[in-house]
Amino acid sequence: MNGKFWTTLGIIAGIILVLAVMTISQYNRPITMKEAVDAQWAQVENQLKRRYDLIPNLVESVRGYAAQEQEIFLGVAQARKAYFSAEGVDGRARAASELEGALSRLLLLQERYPELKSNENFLRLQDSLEGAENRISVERKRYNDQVRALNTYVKTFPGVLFASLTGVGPSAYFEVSEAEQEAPKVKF
Amino acid sequence: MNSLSPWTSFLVRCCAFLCLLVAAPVSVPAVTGMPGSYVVDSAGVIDESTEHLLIARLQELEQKTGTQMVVLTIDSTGGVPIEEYALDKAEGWKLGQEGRDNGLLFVIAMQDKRYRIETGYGLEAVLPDSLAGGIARQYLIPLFGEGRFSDGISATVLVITDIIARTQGVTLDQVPAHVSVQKTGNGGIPLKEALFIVLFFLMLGSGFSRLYPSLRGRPGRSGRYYAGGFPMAGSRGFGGGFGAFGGGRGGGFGGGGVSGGW
Repeated sequence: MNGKFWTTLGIIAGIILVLAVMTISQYNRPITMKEAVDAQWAQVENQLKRRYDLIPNLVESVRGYAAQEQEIFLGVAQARKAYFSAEGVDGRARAASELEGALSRLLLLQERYPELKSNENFLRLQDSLEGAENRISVERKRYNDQVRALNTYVKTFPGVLFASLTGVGPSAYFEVSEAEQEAPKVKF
Repeated sequence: MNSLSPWTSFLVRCCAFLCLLVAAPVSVPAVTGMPGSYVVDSAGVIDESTEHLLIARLQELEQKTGTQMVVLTIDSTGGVPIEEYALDKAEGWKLGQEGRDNGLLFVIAMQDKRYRIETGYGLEAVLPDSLAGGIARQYLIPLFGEGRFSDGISATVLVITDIIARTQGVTLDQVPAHVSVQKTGNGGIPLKEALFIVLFFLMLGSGFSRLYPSLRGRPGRSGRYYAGGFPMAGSRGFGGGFGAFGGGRGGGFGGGGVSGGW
């Protein structure tokens, strides 16, 4: 009887110990996950910036062949400006997809001005732009994966406990808008 | 100490369960089919002597610069965009050294008529997308257009490896010299001239990087996990015989590079 009592007591002490370890190890988890989401968002912004920086040169190289397409240049300039002033994940995502639409209209000009297609400078800028877009989509996917992990964690047990303890909430996905999916694609 | 009561055994189970919870979030990514060589010619388009020379050159490139470049020919990506396919493969193989991220994967999908040059983070400044695209337009596309796939691949590899070696101040001896980087019909460009073109590209490339400083280098990344191990320059084993690929060294990729069709 006495032995049984001590065994039970030991087990209860063990549970308390395990719970304590678990709390400590889990307490930081939502914070770490949120940090990872933020770090990945910085990667997305880096790549968006890369594309943003390419635009003036790309526009200049197209303008040399298609100076009369004022409307398209204006569209790109406006979308670029709107992107600059956009804030937050949603705002940035929306502005980025508008910029993408304007850029693809710009690139489509090579169908009407075939000399563009044989201009090495334009082709190289186009390579850089495509590279930037591919990097954006890679980093965006990684960002969304991180967000999915965080959001799943903070909405399910036991994460929901630790999330509310640490005040970490779900993060926003970088959604690809309908407009972007329908944006005209240039055949290369 | 006789057998535990149902209550205590329940507690023991709880204990074990809690322990599992604490230890749970450890996942090991699966690596599929590592390349056995620097040249994986699944589509069978590279002739044997070219393949040997390419392997020797890529092996020398890794020994002298640490850059791991692999050439992969396949029939088709099976409907997957080649950008995704190449990134998956490059990441799965962990091409390039950990920390230096100097991996490079050159994929050619024959039936899709698409190619992709996937550059690791660390090579983005050495081989910017615009430069890689220029090389493909200069060599790969015209030669592939004539159906000279072996020559197109080796010319592209020759130029890219030369650029990487030169930026690190080394020269590669294993030049696939029998490959004349030929334009339609008339004789072909001799090697010297080809190297001059390389130099021209280099100058263009460095000028380009100067113009766009924001595109240089690799932005800081955090939250990355490494498999462990300490890659030491110069001490890697190449004991596996001719052309044996030592395996990936944990380089990272971010979707840089170019792709196109012919």
